[in-house]
Amino acid sequence: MLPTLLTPSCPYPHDLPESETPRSLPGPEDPARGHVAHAPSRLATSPRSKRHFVIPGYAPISPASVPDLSSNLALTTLPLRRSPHQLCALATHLLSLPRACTLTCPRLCPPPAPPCLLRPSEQQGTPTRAANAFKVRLSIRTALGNKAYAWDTSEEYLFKAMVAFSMRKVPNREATEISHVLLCNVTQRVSFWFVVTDPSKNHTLPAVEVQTAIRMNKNRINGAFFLNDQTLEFLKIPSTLAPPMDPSVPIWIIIFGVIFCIVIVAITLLILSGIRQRRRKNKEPSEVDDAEDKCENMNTIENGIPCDPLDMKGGHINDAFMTEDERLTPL
Amino acid sequence: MAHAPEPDPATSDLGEERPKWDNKAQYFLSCIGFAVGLGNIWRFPYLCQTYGGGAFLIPYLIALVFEGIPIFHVELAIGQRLRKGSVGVWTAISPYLSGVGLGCVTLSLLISLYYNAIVAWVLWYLLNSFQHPLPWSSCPPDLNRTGFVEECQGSSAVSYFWYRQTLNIAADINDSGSIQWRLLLCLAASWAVVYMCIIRGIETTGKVIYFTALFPYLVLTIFVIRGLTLPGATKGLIYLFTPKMHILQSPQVWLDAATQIFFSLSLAFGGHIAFASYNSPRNDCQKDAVVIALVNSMTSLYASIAVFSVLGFKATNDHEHCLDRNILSLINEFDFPEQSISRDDYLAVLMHLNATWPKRVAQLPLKVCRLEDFLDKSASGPGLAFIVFTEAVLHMPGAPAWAVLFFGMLFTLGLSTMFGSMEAVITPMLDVGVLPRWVPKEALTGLVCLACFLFATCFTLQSGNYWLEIFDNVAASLNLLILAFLEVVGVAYVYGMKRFCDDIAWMTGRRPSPYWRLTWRVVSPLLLLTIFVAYITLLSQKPLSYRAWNPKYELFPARQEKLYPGWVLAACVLLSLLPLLWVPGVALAQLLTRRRMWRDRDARPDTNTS
Repeated sequence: MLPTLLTPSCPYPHDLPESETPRSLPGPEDPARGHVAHAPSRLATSPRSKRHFVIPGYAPISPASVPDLSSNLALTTLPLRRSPHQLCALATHLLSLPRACTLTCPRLCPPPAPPCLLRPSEQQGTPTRAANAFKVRLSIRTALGNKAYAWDTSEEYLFKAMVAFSMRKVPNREATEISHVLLCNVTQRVSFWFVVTDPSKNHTLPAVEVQTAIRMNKNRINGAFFLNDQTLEFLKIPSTLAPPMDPSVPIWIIIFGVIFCIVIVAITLLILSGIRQRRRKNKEPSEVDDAEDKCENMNTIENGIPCDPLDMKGGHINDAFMTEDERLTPL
Repeated sequence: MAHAPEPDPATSDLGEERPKWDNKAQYFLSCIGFAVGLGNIWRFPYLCQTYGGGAFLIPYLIALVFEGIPIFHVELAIGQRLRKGSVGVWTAISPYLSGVGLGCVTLSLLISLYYNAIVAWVLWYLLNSFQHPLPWSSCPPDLNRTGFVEECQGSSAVSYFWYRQTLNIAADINDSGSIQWRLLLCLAASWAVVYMCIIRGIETTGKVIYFTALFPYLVLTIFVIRGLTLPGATKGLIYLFTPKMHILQSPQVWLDAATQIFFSLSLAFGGHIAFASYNSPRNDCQKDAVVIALVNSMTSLYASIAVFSVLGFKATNDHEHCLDRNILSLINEFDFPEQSISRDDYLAVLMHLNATWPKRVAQLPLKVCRLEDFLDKSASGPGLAFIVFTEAVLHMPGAPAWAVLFFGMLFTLGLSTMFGSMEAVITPMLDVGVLPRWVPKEALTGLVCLACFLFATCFTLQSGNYWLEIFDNVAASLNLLILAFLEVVGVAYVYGMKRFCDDIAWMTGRRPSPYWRLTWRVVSPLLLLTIFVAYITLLSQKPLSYRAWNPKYELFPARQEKLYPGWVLAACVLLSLLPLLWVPGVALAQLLTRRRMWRDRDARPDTNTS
């Protein structure tokens, strides 16, 4: 869907200083490139189990062509062991990739080298536009692993829809449409800039409003993409952290209560049993004295019958029929 | 000179039969539980790593053979022979030396105070381990929930939980702050548990000791098995045990080995004397001493295997996270596809990028990630248990279970040591008869535990941790050394080597070999004297300082080095001298009493009967 807007452009306050240009390194870049096979595949399909350096294919992206990342970037993988030359080629290749641009701001995707940005200074009369743009960074593969989806135009459409939805929740902004949200400068990292415009007044919405709207609906936006606060980052928009899960009674108090009660009960039982033992011991000396007296009497009355606790045996055993072994008196 | 009474197994001063161990295993386990404590877990591995890995075992074994085992044997022998607690034993050896026994009792009391405070901390962590996610796994959000609490952000979630949510530590030892009710509750619970276990002396201790002495070994085995299967464990173990022989040239190594073996065996507490006094007289205490000391050292080694496999895993984990953070910075800056740089390629890619885009790379917050740096980050003492190990446990799958096991092990280790030190206090009290006969033992134990709990509440203040450190480093160590020296010299020279060897021959059935006689007479006292002098020298070399946790410090999270104020040092000196004052004090009192007795006897010659 081609935008109907004529004037707004994707502001792009990038931090790429003018003086910094990539220094070329000596190295056999071409031979390394030549080794790369050209195989069309999607961004997301390199096998996650092997940590490979994914090399974009040699085919340079023509800026005016349809910027479908998935078909343009040919990916292939190299085995784990590669030579320094190959690594050098890798990094150079990644750096020299022109950034892909989306359909929404075709004017910003000029031919060859310069990436799709306009310095704020080049923009006439809108010096604050750059401040109203936000950079978004997604880490889909980190979040979803094998189930990661590819970032294509449909996903971008969804993103724009979510932003428009968030803006609609802000009072006075219920008329925000999907077309008012502009994306720009989508990279392989899956990061891009977006800005929300107000077509009637022909300017971009202030950053504070966008910030508030996004913060209020961050959960919904996260959910739409199966991501979380760490994998879907809006730089410059801090997300509200989830409140700490405080149960009404902290768990440690519950366990403490259980242990303490058990210990108190055990102490009480031990003290009580100690008291009972002592009472029994106090009673026993008086009982033992009585038995000893009885013993003395018995010894005088019945010669040789051993002085057993007669209470226990009285009447049960006929001492007269004791066997020889049991008799203790010498005959 | 006092004449030692004949061993009388049937009766004691209690007027009733002296309590006995139910079986040899209880006595064995009690001694092992007393000797094996928190120091085996968190001090020995640290020393091993700092002093050249496997090479440290050499001074350690030498100290064990020439210092640890002989003094340990002395304690067991005199306790078993004289069948009294430490006060009774020393009174029996010589009335002038009963101050040594009193000093041991006072010292055990002081050490129990702060030792149980540490057990209370362990209990707090144990109670908090029964939840998922663990409370020290993430920082709490700040007031408007845009980020984390600043103090936590600056240090780490684990440090924050220890210093702020557990101790609520003050920035200076001067501001005591308020009592932390959470710690107070845990302290009450730990004293209640200790009381429950020692309420009737060895009768109750002997039953509980089966669990508290054996559970740590079970947990250590589980941790060894789990630890060895963790990735990076072998790196930690290799790093630990690789011997660096050149470190042995420094005298500090030998000093630390000697002090470690000394404190590890819990000598000069009087606890082993108390335990041995409940033995039957004809028990082979020589074999016991050797076996228990060896078991203690083996446990230290076993624990260090478990600890270092886990720490090696943690170091590997941290190293990988460090690399991942750097890689993420690079990817975010240069907008590379996700996961396009593997850890192996990181250095090469970084070099290339640094050559092509140096300015952009320079402004990135890239850290140097070296595995050795992470392996070197070891800690000892509470730092190991409450910060380093808790963080390592977070990364293990099933973290709450491992946390429960670990803190449960520390709790039982601390408990079994507490039994020994409390027994060292209560047995002499019972022997001397501090309270009248009709007061039951439970009441005496309860009173002692209550008094200790009330005194120990000062460790639940916000500056409690600082007090505990100075207690541990200064008050306890010096006193133990002096008392142990007096013990060995007292037995070898005052009691008499010949008489002592006769006693041992009567108890074990064989006379002690020349090795024992030499070590008791010469080697051990000399070693102890050397250690003491070296300790004093090291202490006096630089002013005593402590490291405070101050969030407002510029170099936070590094701890701020502060000097102890004068009144704190004075309090410490007083506490150090208190147990020792008994020795000359009692000797002097005895001298004066004797002199008066002789004067009286001389004044009345006609009443003197032969």
